[in-house]
Amino acid sequence: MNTVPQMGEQQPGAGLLEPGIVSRLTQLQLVYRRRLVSPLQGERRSLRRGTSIEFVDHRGYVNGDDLRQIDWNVYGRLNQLVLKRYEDEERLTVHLILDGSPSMAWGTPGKLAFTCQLAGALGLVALNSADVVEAYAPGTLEEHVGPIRGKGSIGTLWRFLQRLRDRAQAGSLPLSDVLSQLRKRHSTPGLLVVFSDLFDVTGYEEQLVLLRQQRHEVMVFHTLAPEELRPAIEGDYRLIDSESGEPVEVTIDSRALAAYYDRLENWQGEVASFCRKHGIGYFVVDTGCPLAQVLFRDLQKQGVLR
Amino acid sequence: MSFLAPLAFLFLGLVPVLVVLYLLKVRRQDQVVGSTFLWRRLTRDVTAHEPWQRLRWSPLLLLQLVVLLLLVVALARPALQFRAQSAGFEVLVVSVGASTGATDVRPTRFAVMKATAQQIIDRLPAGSGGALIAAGATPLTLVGDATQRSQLTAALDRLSPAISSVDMRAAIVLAVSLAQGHANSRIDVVSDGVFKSLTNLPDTSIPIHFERIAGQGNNEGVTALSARPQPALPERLAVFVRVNNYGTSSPSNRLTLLADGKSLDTQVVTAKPGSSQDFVFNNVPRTTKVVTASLSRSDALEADNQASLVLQQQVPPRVLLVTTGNRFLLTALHFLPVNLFEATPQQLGEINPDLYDVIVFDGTVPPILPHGNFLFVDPPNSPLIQSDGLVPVQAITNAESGNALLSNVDLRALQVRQAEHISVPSWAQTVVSDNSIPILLEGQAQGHRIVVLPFALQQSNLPLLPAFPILISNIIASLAPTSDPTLLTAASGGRLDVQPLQQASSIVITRPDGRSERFSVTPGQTFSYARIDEAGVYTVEQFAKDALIQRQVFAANLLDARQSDISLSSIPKAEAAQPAGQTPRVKVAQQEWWLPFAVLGFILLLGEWWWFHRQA
Repeated sequence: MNTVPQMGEQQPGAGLLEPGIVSRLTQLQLVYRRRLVSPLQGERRSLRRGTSIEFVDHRGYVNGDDLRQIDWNVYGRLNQLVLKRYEDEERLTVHLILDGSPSMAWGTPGKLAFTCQLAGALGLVALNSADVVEAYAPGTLEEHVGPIRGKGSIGTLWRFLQRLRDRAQAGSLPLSDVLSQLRKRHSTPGLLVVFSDLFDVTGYEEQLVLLRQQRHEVMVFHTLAPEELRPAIEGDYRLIDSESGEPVEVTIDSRALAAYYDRLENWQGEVASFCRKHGIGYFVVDTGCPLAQVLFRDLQKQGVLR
Repeated sequence: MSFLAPLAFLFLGLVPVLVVLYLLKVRRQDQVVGSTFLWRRLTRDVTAHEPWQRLRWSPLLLLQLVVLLLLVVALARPALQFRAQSAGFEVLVVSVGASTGATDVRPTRFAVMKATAQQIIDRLPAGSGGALIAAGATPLTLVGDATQRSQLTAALDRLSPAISSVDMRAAIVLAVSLAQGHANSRIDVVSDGVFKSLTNLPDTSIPIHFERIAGQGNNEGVTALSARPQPALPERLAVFVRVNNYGTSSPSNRLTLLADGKSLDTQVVTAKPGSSQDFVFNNVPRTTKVVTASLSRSDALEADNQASLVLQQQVPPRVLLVTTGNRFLLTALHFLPVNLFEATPQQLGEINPDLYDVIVFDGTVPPILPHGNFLFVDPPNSPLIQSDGLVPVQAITNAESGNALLSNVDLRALQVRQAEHISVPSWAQTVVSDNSIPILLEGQAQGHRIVVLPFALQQSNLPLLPAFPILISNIIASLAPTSDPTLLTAASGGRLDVQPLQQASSIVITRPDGRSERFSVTPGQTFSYARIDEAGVYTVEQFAKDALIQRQVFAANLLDARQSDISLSSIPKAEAAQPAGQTPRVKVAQQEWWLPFAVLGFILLLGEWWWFHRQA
C-alpha cells in the first residue's frame, strides 16, 4: 500500500500544494450528508448490511449462504441456523469535475490553476477517508484518473491535476455535456464536486437536477476570479469574451460599476436559490484568496470539511 | 427682431461637431475578460457612440441641438426694435377731471388713460428723466424730476380721478416750465379732451402730443343746484335744479328731489339732446339740512347724476351796503341768505366796518379799505381802481364761461349805456367785457377779494334781467365763501380745506360711501383733504382728543356743464399744438431678449441631464 509522502520528502506532484497545507489536510474529512449504497467497502456507514464489526441483527439461513456467517452459538442453544448481520462500511466515490471552458483559464491567478489545487486538496481528503476518487480532465470524460483509492494513490491524482494546470488546452465538451455523460456512466450514487465559473450558456441546471434525481450528492464550487468579483478597470473598453470572442463596448465608470455589482449579486443569488431548491451544495470561491484560507476557513465554516 | 452680436452665430458651427460626436466611434481599449455575460446590459447608455455608419436620432441629441441653438441665439443678443422717444425728458400730463370716470370706454376712461400713460413710460429709453402732472382744477405735480421710469410708474399709481374740472392750459403751462431746461424734452398729454379750449398756449418749441381717450357715451347730468328763501312762504325754500342732456336721444328720465334723504317730489325730464331743462321745487321745508337732486337713469357718467346741497349750517354772512340809495341792489341783496346792513358813505366813519364780511360800495371807494371783501359798483377814479372816465359800451363780446361768478348767469341780453373805462389793474382779471372795456372784474388785492362792476346799474338793463339776482348771489357767494362753504363744486378742485379749531387734535372725514378716515391736525394750519373723488355728502368732525367738538357737512358735486358734456373734445390737432417744423423726436429703441433664451436653454440642459440619468 502506498503511503502519504511526509514532509520534506520529494512528492510526486510537488508544486501543486504547499507542504503545510498537505499536513493540515490529513486531519480533515469530507462531510457527506447521506448514507450510501456502494459496492465498495470503505469507511462510511452504508445502508447495506455488510462485513464490518458492528453487529446489526440475525436472519434465517437459506441455501447458498456463506457457512462462515452462521452464528454457531445460536445454533448450539436453539438448534437453528441463523446468520449474523453486520453494518456494511462502504467507500464513497468522489467525482472531481473541472469545468474546461476557456473562461476558466482567465484571471489572476487563473481560475483553472486554482481549481486544480482545490481539487487536489479535496482529493487528498477523500483518499484519506478511504473514499474512491475519480478526476476528469476539463471538457472531456475520456481523459481522467481513477478510480483510485488509498492514501498512496494521491501522487497519481496530483500528477494528473498538475498536468492539467500546466496545459493550456482543454476539451471541447461544455459542462452540461460532461455532466450528462457522467450521469449515464455512473448510476451508483456518489459525490460530484463541480468546479466551474458557470458562464456556460448551454444550461447546466437541467443536468444537475437529473444527477440529483440519481441520488448523487452534488457540490458546486462557483469559481470566480478577483477581476470578476471586483473589476478594477475604468474608461472606454472593448471587452472580448474569452469563450465566444464576442466584443462588447462599454464605458466603465462608477455608475457602470455599481450596475455591474448589482447584476453580479443578482446572478449569484439566482444560482444559490436554484441550488438550495434542489439540495445542491453551493459555494463561492474567490480565486484571489489564498488556498489555505479557502480550505481551512471558508469550507470548514460552510460545513464542507470537518 | 435683430441681433446685436450676429457673430455669435459662428458658434452654430458646433452643430456638425456635435453630430459628428455622435457619429464618431470612441477609441476603445481591447480587454479580454472571462465572460461578457455580466457586462452586456451596461452597454445601452453608450449606444450613441456606436452608429458610425449612419446617424440614429436620439432624444439626447435633439435636446443637445436645441440647447446649443438657444445658447447661440442668446449669445447673439436678440433684440426687438420699436419707435420710442429718444432719451430725454418726458413730461406726462394726465387728466383727472370728473369726466374721466365715464364708462363709455371700458372699464373707465381714467383706467385706460392710466394704462396708456404706463405704456408711454414703458417705451421711454433707459436714462430718460420725466415728470408727471395731474391735470385737475389746479394742476398738481406728482413727480417733477424723476430720473428713473420706476419713479414715474410709482407716481402714476398714486394718481386718482377727482370730482373736479380740468384746467388743461394751466397744466400745459406747468409742463412747459418743467420741460424747459432739459434737452430733448417732450410733453405727452393723456386726456379725454373735456376741458376748456386751449388758447394762448405758451410759445415753445417743445413738442406736445395729445392722446385722446374717449368713447361715444350718452350723459344726462345735474348741472345746477341752488336754494333760496321764498318771501311769500317763509317756511319754504325754493330749490332750483338744472338738468342737461348731452346725449343723442331723449330717453325717459326722472328727477327726484330728496330732503334729508326723504323723497319730496319727482318730475319727468324731457330735455332734448343738446339742451337743458330747469326745475324749481317750491315745497322744500326750511328746516331741511340737505337737499339732493337725483336722476333715476344710469348713464355713462355717474358723477353728475346726483347733486346735494347743504343748508342751514353756517351763520349767514354780514353784508354792508354803502350807497346813497340803490333800490336794485337793496332788493337783490335782501333776498339772499345774508344779514344785510345799509349805510351811506357819510355814515361809514361812524360805524365799525370791520364787523362785516362783505361790503358793497355803490358809487364810492373809501380812502382806507376796512377788513372784509368788497363789491364795487360804479367806482369813481381812485388809487385802487383807476378810471379814465365814462365811455360808451358796445356789446358784450367776451365772457369767461366757467367762471363761478357767471354760474347760471345769462348775460347775452345785457346792455350798458356807458361805463367807467378802467385800466385793468395787475391784481384783477376781466370776467366780462366788450372788446376793450371791462364790464366785470375780479381779483385779490391787499388781502381782500374784490369784484368790480364798473357801471351804474341805472345805466344798464342789468337789474331788469333774470340773471341779475343770480349774478349778485354768485358775487356775494364768492366774496363770502364762508357763507356757503357747504357747496363744493368741481371748481373746488376736488379738494376740501378745513380750518381746525384751536382745541382740535384730529379730524374724522366720513365719505359718501360711509368709510371714515382719521387725520391728526395742528390748530392754525389748514388741513386739506384731497380725495374728493366721489360725489355726495362728506361729514367732517373735529375732535379734541376723543370729544366731538364740531360736525360739518359738505356736499361734493360735479355741477360743471363742461365736465358733464363728455362728448366734448377740446384737444387741438397735433399740428396746431406743435410749432411748424417740429415733430416728436423719436428714435428706434431696442429691447434685448437674450435672457429668456438663455434661461430656456439652461432648463433644457437640466432636462437633458435628467433624461440621460433616467435612461442610465
